[in-house]
Amino acid sequence: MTDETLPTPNIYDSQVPNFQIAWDSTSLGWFKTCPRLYYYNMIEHWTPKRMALPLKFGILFHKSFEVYEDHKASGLDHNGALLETVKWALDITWDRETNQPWTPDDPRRGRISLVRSIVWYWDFFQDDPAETVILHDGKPATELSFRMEFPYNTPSGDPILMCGHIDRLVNFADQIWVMDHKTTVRSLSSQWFDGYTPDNQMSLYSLASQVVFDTETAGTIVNGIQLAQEFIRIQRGFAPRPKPVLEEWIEASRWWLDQAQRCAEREHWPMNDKACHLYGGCQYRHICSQSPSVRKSDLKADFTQESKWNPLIPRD
Amino acid sequence: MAKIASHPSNTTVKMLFFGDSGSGKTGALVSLLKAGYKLFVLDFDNGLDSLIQYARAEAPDKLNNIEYETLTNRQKIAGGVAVPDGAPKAFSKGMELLTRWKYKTPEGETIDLGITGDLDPSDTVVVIDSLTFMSNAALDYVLYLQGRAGKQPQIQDWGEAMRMIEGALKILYSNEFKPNLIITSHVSYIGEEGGMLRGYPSTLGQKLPPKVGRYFNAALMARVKGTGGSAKRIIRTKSEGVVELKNPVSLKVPVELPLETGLAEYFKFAKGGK
Repeated sequence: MTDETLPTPNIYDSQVPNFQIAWDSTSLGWFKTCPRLYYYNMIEHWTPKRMALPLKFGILFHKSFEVYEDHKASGLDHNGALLETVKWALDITWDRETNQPWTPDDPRRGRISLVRSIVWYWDFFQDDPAETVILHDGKPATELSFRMEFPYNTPSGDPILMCGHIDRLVNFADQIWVMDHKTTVRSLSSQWFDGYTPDNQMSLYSLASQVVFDTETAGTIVNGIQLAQEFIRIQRGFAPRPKPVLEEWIEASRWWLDQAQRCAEREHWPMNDKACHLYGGCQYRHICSQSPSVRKSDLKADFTQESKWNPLIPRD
Repeated sequence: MAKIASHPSNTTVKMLFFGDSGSGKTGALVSLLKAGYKLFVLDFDNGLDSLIQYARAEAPDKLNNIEYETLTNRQKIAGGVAVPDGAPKAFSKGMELLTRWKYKTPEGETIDLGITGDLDPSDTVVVIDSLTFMSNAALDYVLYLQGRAGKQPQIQDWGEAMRMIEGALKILYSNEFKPNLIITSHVSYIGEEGGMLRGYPSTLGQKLPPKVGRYFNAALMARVKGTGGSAKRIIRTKSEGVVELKNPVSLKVPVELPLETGLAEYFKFAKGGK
């Protein structure tokens, strides 16, 4: 929860104003995909007028894990924690302006699906073999925000910060793992899990868990939840990150940061026109397809600049 | 540009050692002990009796050169079916030891022999006995994570466990893993329906066994030749029948070696000895 009276943390360098100095896997991923995409998202702060449904559902489902774990840690049994979590889900998906339930076009990512996913998941995993780590303060290790110094200096001389939010630290078979929840409508095949190695986010989380949380982690477990109209399916897979792989990721990330700095210094953010059709198509594809002189008006028509992605702000 | 003389194959043996149950794979390791190698054994089969017996008889002064860890999962009977009793840790413990050979003795002392991949190839052999049971341990581990311990694996479970096994083989095969390596394996006979059966290392599924051989520079086979009183245990270095073997020093090594001394002889030839 952010306090609106506090100033928003600055994430850009004082000497090179458009060079980001606090990164996360999302912003780094944007830059790696396409500098132009990154520019629109992170420098000009365009966001779609309507939050994409997969993102909204994912945020709600992630939050439900925290709600359940908090209630369990406070002393409620499984049924009590589950009831409270369902009550939370019903409450958060009620539109108070219209006095109607939230009913998106895709029923796989709607209110009923959210509640069903919560109930099915925790009924299945009420005795989860991957136990949530309890931190020294007695709180469950869920939704852990982190910041760590990265071996790349800003033009002002300070180290870059890498930030993020780890969904959960778990103890599985006497090893500590990062667990990351992923909801999808795709089937949880080997190919789906292959998509997480290599992967920017999993590599960062593996690194962060070892550096920030002072605990030797074995890697990351991807907690896959497939959403269907009448059911969910759960499958977990490992995203191992041996030390040489993490070292390689660090080196590669330094190169990407160097590229980002060059783009910022030159104020030039080229399109990667091989990425336009990836991931179902870039949201700016119709913008970049236009002549540069008309892009601004199209951006204003379809996007808003009301919110800014800031890796330093903990996720609400 | 590297020189052939310094190619890792001159210093490191990475061997797949096949054989049916009872063919003498584990006992054959004693020849390496006698030749002065230290053995670091991951015992997934819980079957080191033959090695220990031969070692006591033939190299009693070298018993301390065997480091081993028996890695089995506790089982219990539930509903007439054997299911893991608690978290199955055999596979994860094995992977930890392949990363760093560190453990606690029964007396509570911590022994740390360092990064396993940095052990000296001139005098060390890491042994995984066997790929078959290591693979089963990986599947148990995956099933437990999914909350389906003891249940019939689903196709995704097989896939995940196979990825883990193949990932381990890739690491062990890399030049970064410096000590010699022997992985023993039983034989699985796999073939197309109506087609010829071929013998492959016994591991998970049907797609992984044919791929295993590529992660080794040598594949030898322990078997019994002949029957009855004239039966002889040998190590075969050249393909015979439906099991494909691999021998990069075929010009030097006989087609058959005696089981009692064969591994040590092979190592000597493979490392440039005469």
